[in-house]
Amino acid sequence: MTLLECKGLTKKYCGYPALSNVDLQIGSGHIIGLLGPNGSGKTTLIKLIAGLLAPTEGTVSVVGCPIGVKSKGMVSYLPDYSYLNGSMKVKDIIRLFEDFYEDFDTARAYDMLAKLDINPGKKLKTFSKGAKEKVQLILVMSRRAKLYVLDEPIAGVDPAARDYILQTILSNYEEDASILISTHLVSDIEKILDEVIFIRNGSILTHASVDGLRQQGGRSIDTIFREVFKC
Amino acid sequence: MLGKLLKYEWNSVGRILPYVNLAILVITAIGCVVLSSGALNGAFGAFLTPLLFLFYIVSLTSFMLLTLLYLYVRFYRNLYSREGYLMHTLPVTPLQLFHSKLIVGFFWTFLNDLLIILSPVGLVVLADKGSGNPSILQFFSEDGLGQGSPFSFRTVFGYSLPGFILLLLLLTAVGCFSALLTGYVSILLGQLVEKYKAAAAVGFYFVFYMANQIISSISILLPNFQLLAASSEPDAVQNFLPRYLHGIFSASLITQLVIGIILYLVCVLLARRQVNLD
Repeated sequence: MTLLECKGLTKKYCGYPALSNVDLQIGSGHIIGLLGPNGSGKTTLIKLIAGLLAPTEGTVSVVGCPIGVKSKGMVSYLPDYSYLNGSMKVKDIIRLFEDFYEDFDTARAYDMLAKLDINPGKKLKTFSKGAKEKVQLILVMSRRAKLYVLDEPIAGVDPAARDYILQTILSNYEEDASILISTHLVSDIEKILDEVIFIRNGSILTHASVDGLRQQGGRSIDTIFREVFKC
Repeated sequence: MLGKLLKYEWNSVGRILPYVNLAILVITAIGCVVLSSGALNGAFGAFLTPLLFLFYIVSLTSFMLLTLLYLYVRFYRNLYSREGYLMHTLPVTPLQLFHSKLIVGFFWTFLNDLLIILSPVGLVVLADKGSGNPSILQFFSEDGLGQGSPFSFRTVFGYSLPGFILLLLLLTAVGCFSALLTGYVSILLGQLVEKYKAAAAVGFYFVFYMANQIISSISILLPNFQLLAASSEPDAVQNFLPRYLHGIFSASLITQLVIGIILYLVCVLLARRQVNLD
């Protein structure tokens, strides 16, 4: 089943293209790495999928639905920075997610918070940056969504936290769902990926399976990435 | 979903605005205590009264501006800054987001304006009661000042007291609606600009505010020109004030209602567009 389909997707900022004529299809049950250097268009593509940007040209659909109320109910989005109201308590934010997302699993969220020793009665602004990021990830991964789009989930966190984040991602998504993870920290993430998308200057260079690429070149994805995006 | 959005909006706004309104009540209560204590009698009182009066007026104006400013900033921050990433990824329509802000914002601005109107009324009535020769309350009664005096609220202003209160409530409601939407439409228009969206919103606000002031002034002046033209009629002088007030109130009500409806329609049109959170 096709979960995500982009056709001729273009996004321009002040006349300059951040994404150019992107055609993309993502099926169910995969973890896909959206890999590219800074400014390559990863965040723009993710925002278009999440419905936070309007395309200049082209279309995006999730399970055949154009971006709108229905698609937002199927996509679980993690931005690359804190987007929650810091003056809210964690338990209030959980209630908000529970109220609006039919697929939100409250028990799973509280279980993950307990494992990390995060007090849900505390306000979000009282937590450290790392703890805030973990709370956001817990909220996003506590949904039983069709498609998870995670924008740089491991950027700016220590190696131990990276392991926790990757473990959380792996152990919490549904089998028929797919995860699109954008990052430029390829070596940390390549072991969990099924497919990779290389993106540069707003265009997709490669969309292939990780095993296929490794067999073809006899090198790791990290090595291939470094060669493709060599400055 | 609108009900759920209203609940969260209500809870979020409820963390700040009740305290602003409480402050109005506290200032009014302090004013009542000062007036009834007789502390303003004598030479020192004559010096202190204008200062306290100035402080009182500045406070009320500040509370009114603070409420509006808070609601504008919340609208912008919650929908078009970082928090917008959550709000615009909820499975709700952009119009539901907009209406949740408008309904809750309208309630608080209306309550705020009512308290600001009632506060000086309360002080005046208290001062009148304490004067030993209450005339204001009597003036508001149907008999007026009595003893053959023609002066009553109805004869001077041309409205019965309940009718005037109803008109005042309508004017306040329409004014709140229009003021709130002036800010919201400016923010929404600011989103159409590619860079400096917040600065553009401030610019649009001043343009709309000035336009509103000019239109309101013209619409208030027009009926009074008609009144001056009819001043040769025999009963014109006697009925000048009621007719003058009637003209001003009617013009204000209609103008603000029309402006409010236009702003609302523009807001709906802009809010329905797909968001662009760069």
